[in-house]
Amino acid sequence: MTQTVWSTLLVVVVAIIGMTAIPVMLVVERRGSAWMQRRSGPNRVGFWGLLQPISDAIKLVFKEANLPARAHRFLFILAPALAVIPPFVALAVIPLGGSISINGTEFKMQAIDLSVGLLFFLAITSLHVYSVLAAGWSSNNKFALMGGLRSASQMISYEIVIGIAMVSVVMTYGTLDLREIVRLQEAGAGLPAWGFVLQPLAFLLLWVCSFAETNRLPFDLPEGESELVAGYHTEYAGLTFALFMLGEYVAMLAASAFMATLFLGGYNVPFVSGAQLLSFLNGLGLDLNVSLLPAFVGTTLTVHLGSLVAVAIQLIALLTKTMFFMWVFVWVRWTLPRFRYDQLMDLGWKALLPLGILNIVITMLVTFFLAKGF
Amino acid sequence: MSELTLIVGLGLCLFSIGIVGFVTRRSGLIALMSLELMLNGVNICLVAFARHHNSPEPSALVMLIVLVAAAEAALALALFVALFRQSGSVDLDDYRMLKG
Amino acid sequence: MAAPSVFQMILCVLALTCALLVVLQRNPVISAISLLGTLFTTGLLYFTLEAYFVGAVQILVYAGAISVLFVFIVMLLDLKPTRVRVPGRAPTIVLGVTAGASFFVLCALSVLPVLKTFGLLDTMSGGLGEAAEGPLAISVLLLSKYMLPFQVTALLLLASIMGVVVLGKRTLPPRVSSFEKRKD
Repeated sequence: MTQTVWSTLLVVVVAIIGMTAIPVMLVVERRGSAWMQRRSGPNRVGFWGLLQPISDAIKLVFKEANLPARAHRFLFILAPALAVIPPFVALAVIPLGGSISINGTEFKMQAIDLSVGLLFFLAITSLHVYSVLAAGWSSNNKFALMGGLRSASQMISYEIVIGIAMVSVVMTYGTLDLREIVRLQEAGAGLPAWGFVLQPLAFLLLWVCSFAETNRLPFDLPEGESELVAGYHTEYAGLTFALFMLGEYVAMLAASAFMATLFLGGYNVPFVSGAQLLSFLNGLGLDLNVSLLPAFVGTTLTVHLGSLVAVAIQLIALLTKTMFFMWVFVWVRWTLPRFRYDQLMDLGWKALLPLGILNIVITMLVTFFLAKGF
Repeated sequence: MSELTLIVGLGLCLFSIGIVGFVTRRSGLIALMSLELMLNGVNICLVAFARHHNSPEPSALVMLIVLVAAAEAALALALFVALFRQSGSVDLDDYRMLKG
Repeated sequence: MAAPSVFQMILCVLALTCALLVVLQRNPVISAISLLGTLFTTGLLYFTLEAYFVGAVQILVYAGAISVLFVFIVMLLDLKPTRVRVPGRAPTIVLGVTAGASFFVLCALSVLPVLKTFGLLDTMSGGLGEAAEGPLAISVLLLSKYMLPFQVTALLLLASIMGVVVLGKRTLPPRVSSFEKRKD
């Protein structure tokens, strides 16, 4: 088991996590919104409507994936690809757990192990703008173009606020490495060192701007159903539209995982540090190496069972926090009304950006005086 | 061929392609994009030298170049938008007020 | 330096293709998207050169902000595909190609022997560590040795922001456009 094989395996795991989040989110969105609106959502297909995503997928596959008459064919087909690929890549840089000890060596549970993971995440999510622009322009449709341009300017504006909020987060933790940030949040008794205690304003800013980045209500204007037909994906139907929805849900997942990593302790179980968890599990008698391959195969592949169970518990913790944020995404969508475009831009530039700069100044002062021993 | 030769060669090619585009194309926006290509070619060479000499100094210069490119691209694009509103085209051949 | 890996060669070919597309395409939107392709593959190339911070900044700023500006403006102005065969344009095209080609040949002929003399083309093993490349090293340099360029660039950014805001205002004082004054 080399690092390359391990990284490939983790990339597959991340892709699976992303792909399974989509049917789960479809059910949560439709049943959750129905519950909030005092009606019953889809409950015909499968028990409690759990097989609804399958019927949705079948319907979308069989719909005609059209190409408008004078649309630009290359960009029209490229846009859904640009919508789907960046969120998966962004998801890959989130640390999923501690480390597993395989064959005696420690392998980290992070698909892309970068020392500048935070910056890489911001960089990849900033590529999401192109799908909107390409879709809007190549559809040869005025509503789509307007929706695309509006959405692009909205996403760029709120991306700037995210960057400014991240400056103060990086100042607090002193590193750009997401793994290190999670490790720093397990200090003390666990919960009091979580990010939202240290940087509440940055947490709020990132949370609000994540709604804008993923084009979710209340920043839904570019795809506003009642204003712009369907915004930048007006001309998309069938499988290409399914790809846009897929990209949106995975972008939500990536943003939620990012917020959980930075501000909610990442994969840390509350009140328990990674080392404590491992020693607890070892004490339970899991301190043994299990061989995964039968004896007649040449190579040996042993896994330390304690570390495996610890990583599983940490992954469940991370997924719980991520699902909390996803639920809030759904909750807010069916609760708040939509912003008007000028209100949206005013909020981004005149309210959130000054708040971000204020946060930087406060963080700067606090960090400086704490370092000086004030 | 070593890595350094390949990357410096790529930077050189990008710079030359940028020169060709900058002189040849009529549209002002394409000329701007060629300018960005030129800056990018220089950046690539610098990063290759940083890796080779194991030094952070070229990387600092790359950061400054990226910053300057951002500022200049934004301003030039705003200029072109204003010019487009005035005259209806971005072709560099159509801006001949100072000529003759 | 070690021999280039296959991935690096593929990225170089991709970057060159996208750069040629920027210059040769008639449709400005495809040129802008090709610029994005060039900048993104260049960023990936930085990652293969173990310059992770610079690569992330390249993708974040260059491919994620500057290129977005280009694509946005091209789509906003709704530029149509241009005609290449414009009469009277041939001398300029010849001049441009000559300039680019001669620069390439000149640099290749003058730089390569110098690199060879200094032994920079040998296959040495140069590695980039965190200490040489990370944000800490670069920012220490930017704030100590290159403090003046850093501050001047900050001023340049401020001037650029102010310029963009002024240029973006539609409520410029009404005057007759100079294009209509000339009657020739």
